[in-house]
Amino acid sequence: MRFLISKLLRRSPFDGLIKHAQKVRECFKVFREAITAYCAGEFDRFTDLTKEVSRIEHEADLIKANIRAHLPKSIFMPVDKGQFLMLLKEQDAILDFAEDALIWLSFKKTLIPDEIQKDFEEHLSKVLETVEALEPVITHIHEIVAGLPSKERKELKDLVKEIHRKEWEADQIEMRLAHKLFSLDLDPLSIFHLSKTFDLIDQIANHTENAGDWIRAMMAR
Amino acid sequence: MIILYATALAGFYMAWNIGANDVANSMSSAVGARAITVRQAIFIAAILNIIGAAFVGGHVTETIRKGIVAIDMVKLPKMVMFGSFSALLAAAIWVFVSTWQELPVSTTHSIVGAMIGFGIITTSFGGVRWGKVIAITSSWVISPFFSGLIAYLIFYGIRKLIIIRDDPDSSLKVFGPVMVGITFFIIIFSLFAKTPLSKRFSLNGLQIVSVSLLGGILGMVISGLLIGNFLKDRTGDSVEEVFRRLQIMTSCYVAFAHGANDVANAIGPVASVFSIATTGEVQAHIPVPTMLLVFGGIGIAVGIMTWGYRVIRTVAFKITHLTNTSGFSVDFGTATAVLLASKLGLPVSTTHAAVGAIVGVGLARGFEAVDFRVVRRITLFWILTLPVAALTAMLFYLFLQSVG
Repeated sequence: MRFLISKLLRRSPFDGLIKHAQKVRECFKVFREAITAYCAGEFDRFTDLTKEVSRIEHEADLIKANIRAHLPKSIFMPVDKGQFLMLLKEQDAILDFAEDALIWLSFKKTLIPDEIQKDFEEHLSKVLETVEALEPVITHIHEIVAGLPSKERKELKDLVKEIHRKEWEADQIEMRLAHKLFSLDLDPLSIFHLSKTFDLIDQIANHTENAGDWIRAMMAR
Repeated sequence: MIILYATALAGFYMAWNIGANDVANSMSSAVGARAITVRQAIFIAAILNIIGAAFVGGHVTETIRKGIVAIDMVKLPKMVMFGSFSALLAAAIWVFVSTWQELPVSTTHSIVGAMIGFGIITTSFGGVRWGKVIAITSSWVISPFFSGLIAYLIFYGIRKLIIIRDDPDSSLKVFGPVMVGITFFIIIFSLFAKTPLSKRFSLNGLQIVSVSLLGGILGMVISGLLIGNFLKDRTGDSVEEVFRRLQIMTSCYVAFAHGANDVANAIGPVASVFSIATTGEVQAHIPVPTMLLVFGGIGIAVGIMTWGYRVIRTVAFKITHLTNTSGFSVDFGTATAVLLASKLGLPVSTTHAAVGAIVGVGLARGFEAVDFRVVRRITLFWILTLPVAALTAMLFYLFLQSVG
């Protein structure tokens, strides 16, 4: 009977998910600094920080791959395995877009015009707030799959709603930002560069929202 | 005389195997759920096993374990001595091989298989009670199914009635004591019914039931008061805390009962050889000297402290999210199924029951990742146990016969 429990029961994939979420937090601290450096025109520093984001993104990729590699068909989980893998995929997409945004920025040194500086800053903050709102939900994943008392379940549902609200706000700001960008007298190349940057940053919030939705689906009774 | 020492050695080795494989597991769910530390688990399991083996272990044993072979067909004392030794060694080797393959097999079934081999060779099929063999085979299906069902229902109940309620604490106040009461009842009932303890106190069935009921009700009342008090000045996960305590009790019970029941698998054949060596006769039932039981108990304890230690530590390290409620459900399902089945006269293996209980709780979504593929491999080893142990025992017997 020796290896009974350790063979039948695998290491929890939710531990890996939480580890992955910690990488997200780590990554966005650097991401924020990188954007600040870009706006301040410190391009060398920006390059270094972009590399740092890529490194963290890669580490998170390894965690994701490791979770997937250890979930063969015979593994039975308390939640739908498909839902779990979709959640993982969306959480990973958050990092992918953070990396993509920085790399896209690095292609051209476009300074952000003063007229939209404030809106850009506001949009960025809102997107980062959205990402930050996801982590407390993820850290409760063990409780979510174990079953929650009604009160705590409601609290977590509210946290997911909060992610939705923030994402919606980020969308609104981005629309305003894009509108202003196209009304400026800028060369087309700069407009294209900035417009896609805003879009990539906004994608971060979109995928955060998707991750939240998958958790909500897991909580459904 | 050499055969006596050799059998004693094989018996100790078998006891070591029991300690290293079986008993370690009675504690590992408690360790995995962080109810006790590895050190505490080792200490508790070793002590409880020696006590269980020495004081409660069968002081009388059948010469042929589980009555697999009709004893009146095996008259020659030398045959029984060789047979006991061969069976013990064959069973021990099979348990060792499956341990090495990291798969749980039942020590009880290994020794039964080896005894069948011995019966086939000495009585040429005629003396083997095939009805008994079929009953044992049926327990492969019945005991895991039983324990799985019970563990599933218990875990499902705990979740539905307590965990996901609006106010888990007040549900706990109602259902907690009921759970404690049932657990106490099962533990006390099993202690008397599953071990030779009732013979020592000369209790009959009705008395056992009333004593257990009394214990259960007492447990219910006391825990009702304790839980009420406990919840007053507590924040945090009080449900898990209550089941943590309950799980320590069920784990201790499983360890104790294991020592009491399984010591005979290792010591029974030794006692047969010992009896024949001292009296020169073959009897159907023979006394087991307390010294031998202590010897077996120590063998089990050594097994726990050597291999068992590593096993428990591996489990504790590997399983990161085993909750007390799911661990309790596994222990409860196992203990209850073993009790129920043995009352129905079915020979069951704690190992098989435990596998069923883990799968049951897994299906009730009590574990974060269960590997069902492992169940297939375990089942294969269960099926192989009887023929392999039988064949090995036959080979040893033929070898001994040709040299002795």
